[in-house]
Amino acid sequence: MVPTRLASLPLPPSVLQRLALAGYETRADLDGLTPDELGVDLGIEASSATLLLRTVRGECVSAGGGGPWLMPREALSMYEEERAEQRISTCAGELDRLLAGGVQLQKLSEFSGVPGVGKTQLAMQLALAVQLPEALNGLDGDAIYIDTEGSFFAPRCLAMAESLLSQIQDEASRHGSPEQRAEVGALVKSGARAMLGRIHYYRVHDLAEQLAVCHVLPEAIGEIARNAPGRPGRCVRLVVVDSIAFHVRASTELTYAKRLQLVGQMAQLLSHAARRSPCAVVLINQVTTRVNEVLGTSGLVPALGEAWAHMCNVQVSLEWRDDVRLAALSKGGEPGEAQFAVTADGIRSADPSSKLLPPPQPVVAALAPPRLQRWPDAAAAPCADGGYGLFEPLAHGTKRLHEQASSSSSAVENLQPQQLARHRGAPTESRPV
Amino acid sequence: MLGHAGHTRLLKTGCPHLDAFLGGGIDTNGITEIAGEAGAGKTQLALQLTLQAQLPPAEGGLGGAAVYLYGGTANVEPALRRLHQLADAFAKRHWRVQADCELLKNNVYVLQIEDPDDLWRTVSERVPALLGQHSVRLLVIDSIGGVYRGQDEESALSARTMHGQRAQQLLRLAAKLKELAHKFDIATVVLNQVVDKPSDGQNRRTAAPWELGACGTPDGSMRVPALGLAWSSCVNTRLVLTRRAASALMPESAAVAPYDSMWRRHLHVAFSPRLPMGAEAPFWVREEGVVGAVAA
Repeated sequence: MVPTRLASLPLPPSVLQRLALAGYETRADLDGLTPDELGVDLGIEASSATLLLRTVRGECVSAGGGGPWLMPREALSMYEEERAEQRISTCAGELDRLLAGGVQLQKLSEFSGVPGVGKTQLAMQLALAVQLPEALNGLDGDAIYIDTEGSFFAPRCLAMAESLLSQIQDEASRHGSPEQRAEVGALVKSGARAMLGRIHYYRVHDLAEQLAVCHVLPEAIGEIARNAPGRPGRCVRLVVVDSIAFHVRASTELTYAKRLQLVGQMAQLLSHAARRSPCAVVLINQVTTRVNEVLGTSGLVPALGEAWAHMCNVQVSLEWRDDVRLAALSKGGEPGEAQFAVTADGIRSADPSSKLLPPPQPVVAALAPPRLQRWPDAAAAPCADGGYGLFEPLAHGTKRLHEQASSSSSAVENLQPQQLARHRGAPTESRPV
Repeated sequence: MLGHAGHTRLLKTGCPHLDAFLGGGIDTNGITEIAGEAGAGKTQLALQLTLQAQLPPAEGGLGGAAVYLYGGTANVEPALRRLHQLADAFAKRHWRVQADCELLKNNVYVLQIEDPDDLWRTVSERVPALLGQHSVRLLVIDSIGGVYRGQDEESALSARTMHGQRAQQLLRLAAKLKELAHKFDIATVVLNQVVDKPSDGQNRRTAAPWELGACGTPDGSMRVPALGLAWSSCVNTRLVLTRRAASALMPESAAVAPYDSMWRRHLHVAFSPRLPMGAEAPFWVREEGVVGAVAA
């Protein structure tokens, strides 16, 4: 029997092109593939891949190549989705406002900057903030931390978790709703160590391992959801890669074209995981100097070049301006700058009176992206400080906070085995015995 | 993960004040750079660490030998003489754990490095072999700037090609060092020189303000750790040692020990994933080693 060529099937040209590029020629080539596998291979959504497979197998007839993958979507529905999307707070009010509420789910967000500006601190802060329950401005999700540089330092992360807990407890006891207080109580009871247990850490030593982790991300995410003890519906809401560039830049044996291809593949896999889970993907990037030979000037740009820049949905550069740290958004939102601070507690607003918790009412206003502020109508703006309770009086009972922090952490000293230990055994681990 | 050795093990410096300042010591994950001008005390501190690493963990060591890669044009002799002197004092101080001067010295494997290619070969082949055979817990490179900058002047390549190649080599080296550090659970200390940098607007964006503060010289010029941004991006913790003439800066230098009365030395944290950045601590170099000076 003559094999049916895919080109003869009623598929849209864009899909046919992708199939041809990926090396699929006949109907038999697609046998036994799952929609997910095909989706990754072709770089299309799993739903489109499902439809494609059904069409190829003759289960549905697509008229004139007008499959739903070519169907327009209403821009309004996209706008609504975008608005309703939840975000992970950076714990720094101004930075959150710059990011329209925080780091977005389903998107690749890049943070680049010079050494010491706070990239790793921000990554650790996000890995903690994502775990907060929804009533406390979090997503109640786990975090996967892919460390390529060896900068993740667990004791520092624990200290940040303790600070976060005590600060939130303090704020909730001052102006929190009963629901928030209940959530804080539960959180403090399980303690800072439990928060570290929800960060799943991979140490990656070279580019091959980095790619391998990206490949197994969907399975790793599924595994975490299945193994969550007594917590149905727990899922990963954040994947951090710190940093994306290091091993790519260190692989001197690769040609430029090959590197570009690998970076593209990595972005594809990460974005697939981001959309499927759904989770936010935060990519920490190094910076490099770019010399403009015509003008004779030089400036700092994120590493990995222009092609990479196109693959990120959101790009933020963290930089020094005189003696303060600034985050500058260059892609994926309204361009702007925001100051932030790296303190002993972690990433915080440069304004010490800024609060972590949104005021209890209205919660919706706190989540609404501040892009509404564009409208000149003052009544349309959520509230003057973006819902962060700037007007709350500042009075940290520091001593009391320390007492709370120490008592809460000692109470859970031997609460549960470290989650991380188990996930360290994943494919990248190659410690000699 | 808290329980994982690679993340909690710290190599103490041997001085309680400096250890407190460094949050417990030098950590065994990633690369710790100690930068500073000639005579700032980099080698002194590194040699002390090679001895300290041999102490059992209960005494603040890592319970293993040290590999000391010595590069650049300078002679290794003075460093070895100093090591001998330090080992003597060290053995006396740690008599309780039966520290022996000869054994201490023999547990420091000194390898001479000629050039960047030699450094790469050593780190990728000889060092892993050593790590496999002996229980080595500390790797020191003295100094990365010396190995690479000696090369600069000889190279006939254009400045840009050379910098591109150098950056790639450094990244590859750093990746290897980090891999070894994690797999064998060793502390990695890389010494670096400082180079003059003209102060312009660009500086402000590539380095933290206190890094410039620590590196600024009285005449207003900046001295920054050598090898540029590519190497900086590889370093996990950067410490900078500075040395100023005591008389100009500190008229009340009566409290300074006689051995080191000439200089006022400081240890700065330029950046670190866990230490408060911009902090600084005074220290002295004494006959028995590097010790922190307590603020009066």
